[in-house]
Amino acid sequence: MLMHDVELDKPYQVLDPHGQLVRPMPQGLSDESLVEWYRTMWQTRFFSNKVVALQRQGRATTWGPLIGQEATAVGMGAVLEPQDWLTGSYREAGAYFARGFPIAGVAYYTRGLQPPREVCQPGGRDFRCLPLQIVIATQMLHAVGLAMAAKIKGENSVVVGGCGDGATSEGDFNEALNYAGVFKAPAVLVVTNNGWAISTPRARQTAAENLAARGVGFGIPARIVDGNDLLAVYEVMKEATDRARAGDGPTLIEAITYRLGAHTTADDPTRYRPKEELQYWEARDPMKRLKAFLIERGALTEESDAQLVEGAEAFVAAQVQLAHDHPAPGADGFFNNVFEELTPRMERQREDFRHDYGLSEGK
Amino acid sequence: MFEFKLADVGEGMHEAEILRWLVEPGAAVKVDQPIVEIQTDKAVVELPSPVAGKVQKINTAVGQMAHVGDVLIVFDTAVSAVGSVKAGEAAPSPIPAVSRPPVATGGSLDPSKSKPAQAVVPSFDALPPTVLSSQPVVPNLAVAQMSAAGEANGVVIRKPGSVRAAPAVRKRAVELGVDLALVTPGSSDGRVLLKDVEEYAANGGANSPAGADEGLLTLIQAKPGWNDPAMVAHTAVEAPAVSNGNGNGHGPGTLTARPNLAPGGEERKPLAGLRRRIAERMELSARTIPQVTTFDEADATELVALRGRLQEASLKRGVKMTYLPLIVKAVVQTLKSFPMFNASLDEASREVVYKHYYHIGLATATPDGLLVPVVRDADRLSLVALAGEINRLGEGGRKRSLKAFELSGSTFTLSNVGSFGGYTGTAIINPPEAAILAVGRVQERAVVRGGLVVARPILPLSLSFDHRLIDGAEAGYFVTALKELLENPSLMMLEAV
Amino acid sequence: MTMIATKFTIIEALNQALAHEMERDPRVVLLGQDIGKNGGVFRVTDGLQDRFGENRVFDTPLAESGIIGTSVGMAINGLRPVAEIQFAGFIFLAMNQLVSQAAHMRYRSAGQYSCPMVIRAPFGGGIRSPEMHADSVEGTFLQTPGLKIVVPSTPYDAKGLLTASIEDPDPVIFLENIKLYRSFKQEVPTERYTIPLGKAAIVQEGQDLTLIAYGAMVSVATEAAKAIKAQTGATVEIIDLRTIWPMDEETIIASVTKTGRAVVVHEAPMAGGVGAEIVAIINENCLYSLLKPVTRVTGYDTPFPPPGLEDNYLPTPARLTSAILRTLED
Repeated sequence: MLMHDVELDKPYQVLDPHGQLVRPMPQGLSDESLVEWYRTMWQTRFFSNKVVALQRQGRATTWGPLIGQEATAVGMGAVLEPQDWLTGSYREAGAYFARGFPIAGVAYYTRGLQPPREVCQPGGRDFRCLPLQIVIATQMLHAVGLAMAAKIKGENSVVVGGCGDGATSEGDFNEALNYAGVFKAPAVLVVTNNGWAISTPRARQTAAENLAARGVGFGIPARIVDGNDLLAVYEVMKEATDRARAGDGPTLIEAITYRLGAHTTADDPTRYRPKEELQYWEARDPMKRLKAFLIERGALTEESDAQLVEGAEAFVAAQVQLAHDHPAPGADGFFNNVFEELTPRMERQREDFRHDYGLSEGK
Repeated sequence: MFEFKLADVGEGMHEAEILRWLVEPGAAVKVDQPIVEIQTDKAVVELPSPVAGKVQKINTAVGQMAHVGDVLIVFDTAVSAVGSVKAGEAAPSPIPAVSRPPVATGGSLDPSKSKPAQAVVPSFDALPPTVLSSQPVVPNLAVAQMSAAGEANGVVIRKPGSVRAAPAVRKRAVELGVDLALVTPGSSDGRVLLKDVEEYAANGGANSPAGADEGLLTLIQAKPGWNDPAMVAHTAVEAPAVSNGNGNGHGPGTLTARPNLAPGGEERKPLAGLRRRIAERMELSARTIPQVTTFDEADATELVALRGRLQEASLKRGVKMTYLPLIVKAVVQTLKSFPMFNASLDEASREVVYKHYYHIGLATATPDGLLVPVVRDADRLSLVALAGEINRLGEGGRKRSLKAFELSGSTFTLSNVGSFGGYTGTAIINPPEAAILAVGRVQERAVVRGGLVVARPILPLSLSFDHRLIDGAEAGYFVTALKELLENPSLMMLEAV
Repeated sequence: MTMIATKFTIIEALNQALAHEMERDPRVVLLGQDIGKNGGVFRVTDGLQDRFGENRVFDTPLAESGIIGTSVGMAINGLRPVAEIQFAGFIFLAMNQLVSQAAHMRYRSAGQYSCPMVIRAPFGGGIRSPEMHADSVEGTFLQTPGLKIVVPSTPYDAKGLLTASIEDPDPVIFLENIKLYRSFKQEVPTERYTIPLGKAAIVQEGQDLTLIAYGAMVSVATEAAKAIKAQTGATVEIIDLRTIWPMDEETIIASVTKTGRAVVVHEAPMAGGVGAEIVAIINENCLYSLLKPVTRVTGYDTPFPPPGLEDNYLPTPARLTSAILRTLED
């Protein structure tokens, strides 16, 4: 028996695992954008694998692999407009990439440094993506606050907040749903249910049949979607963001997918996950499904696919290289950005630091 | 050439076991190709190669534990296995070379501006392999070492001593050049007050607590035996103005006014510099090491003869030969047979640390006190080199010109207790070592040989050892083995390196 | 410029500051529990919802983490939220949002996003409030880099400091002693003004001892200083910190260097608190001026006691006077 307790047939699906349409294709979707998002899915996968490799070589910090969840992530980010906001956990980096946030920005972070503005906002464009969140569920309240502000200011922007299944047990997740409902905030709260919170299965997070049911209690419409089906994720996300934009308030979305990798580079999932479960989900790889669909439509050939995949890998490599080539802050860089200005004491501490380590100013 | 070192692939991982090599020497390797499978205490992981190249050497065998920072495998990166090239070089490869930075595709920070167009394999050899982040910095060594070498640099670290005074009072005393110990405390709980110091300075070296009878006080101070407790009680009665009235001379609030300098009595000087350091080392040894001593004597007839034979040749080499190099040689050979005597106890981890090197400390008298210069790797020095080194260290010690590293790190110490008179003695262990050998003065003594009393040059030996590590029997065997070599120094040739 | 000054309580002064800022800056919004129609349980926000509308002054669900967490989002998205936590003792429900999120957002984002926001919270004993309502939390937040801590002691300071806090580019926790809310009135200009954060006030000058206090303890300090003057003739210099962090070290150092003696008073527990920090500052900077050890007169290292025992816990003028006398004696 699979420990992942949601039947795949139940969630909203457009493409079945073989890439066959089970529903009409969502309106307004072009082949070009689908190919573009497919490419981003590959970039996300290659990036994640690249960081794991770098970590093993001592060139990246602890990293939480993103693989298996690319369709959910990319669908989440792809629907956003420039004025919208996005905030997610470390496992939502793919959504950031789909939104346009530079891969180099996250790559820089994996060097163990805070990515600076010029890396995150090339050309001065603020992608409105908050730093990937570490403390579970915390970002969901930020998403609602961002959305409340948009509403108060009368701006036509929506906010997507992403978290995992484990996060639904946190107080902040439930407070976020509650605030979103009460203030009718233009927010879409997405739970990427990948079945596992490190080694804790979904069933340990709640006795409820599914996570989307939480929406009912907070008076928020909710949807369950096949998270490995980009078309379905896109459609549900589009519907939710349209609703938010129209002033109809928040939506809760539960996307069913699977973490094919370990929780982090310091984790060994073979200790707690049955092999059969992994095999089941590998067969439902989101890339395979989309590729089959795109080839059948003629939007992609085996040849152009191979080229696209290779190109995605090279693009990722170049972005990683870019991040590594970008200068690190000075050794005393950790004094910056605590407050807008250093306090007098921090200035003295920085001077002492420079003196103790024999540094000249700013080196 | 590229050396691939084991990184911390967990969170705070320290070591890992090599489970399986996925490549073998001579194999071509691509960037990020898995090369080895390792097991940490958290997970089994594959390590990918950070470079392209040919496997030159595998350093760690399957089943072996590797520590973070160990070189696991060495690559020859000059011959690139996949045609990836170093920046700036021409690319005779079927795959287009990439010049960086910026990279031709995807090199812009704005991904919208650069969509991948062609297959390229950017190499990562420009990445510093171990530097994750900002440039690492190290503290100023000058600052870090100051306290350790404090005494050697002539820095005397003051202690508050027995005088009680507020910081502001101490500062004022320094400004006025007043020795606080000479000032009569004015407070009821025995502290020297600001006004006491100022009054003392103004009166040219005297002060009195308010209301005290100066004449009486002077008289009391001049009395011999003032530091006798009985006398203090007596003076308390005699000087009611500075007493709290309980008159027993003890406890807070009583007359703690201590006339600090009795003419012709005592003088106090801080235990400073090398003397203080020696005191601390001795205290450490006596306090922490349960040590006992075993005695023996060696017939030095052969040793004396050997030294005589060596002297001339040695002098030709510019080195004066003494008994010490010969004794050191014998000691080192004995230590090799008895590793525990060259070990130490790591107090923190409660582990015995066996050392495979032989640094012999030589307790040396200097005008300032005892120093222990160290002959490093005494087992690898020829006899004449050893003699030269011992002479050099002895000279340097007496001149106090030795560097910190020449005065530390010994694994076993030798003390020549006989060199300043006396016949023999015991030595105190130089912590954290396991034992110390004291050698006395070679003197003719009456000994019995074949039922006859004859005169022989005798070298007294006393071995003090850490009883936590070594039992009396082993100490006995050690001394016997050493004595054997000293009495038959030619035996040393058997093991001479 | 002449200012028209009328006598106001701290409650009224705070209400004025909020009204001024809302009028002046459309980004300022107020949120919290019962702050709208009800005007807050202490009436600090009285009348502001009527005046500025429900879009800018609104009640929230009863969830502290939600209040601060959504304030973080609002601040990042261009607003200047002023959130009320009904009692400071309840702020622990929102520790992550305050400490790891609001206070660290600028840092985590390398300066790209920041949280200009104010969290107002009533605190302190002396009014027989139920348990968990009187805790002093400022010491807890001393270990939170990125957060400023303000505690006013007078209506004048309350208004000027709150105005400066709302204007500040970084998050500020603004702690209001409940006991002081209505305990006295002071002349307060009706116009807007600011008092810079990070600057202490010298409440009265003196030569013989420095007494460092803040919030409700400033009046206790003033009373003790009077008693000392009457008993011994010694003059006590009283420093009102006003901003706990960043602390005005300069003023403390100058005063203690002059007097050579210091006593610190606060109602929060002693261990690892504001007093400990001040003693450390004095040690590092004024040691050679010290004639006696620096003394702390504080709440004891117990939880804030039940209301029936709070008088025994809170520092009193008598306790303070006795500590000052010990420190003055040679």
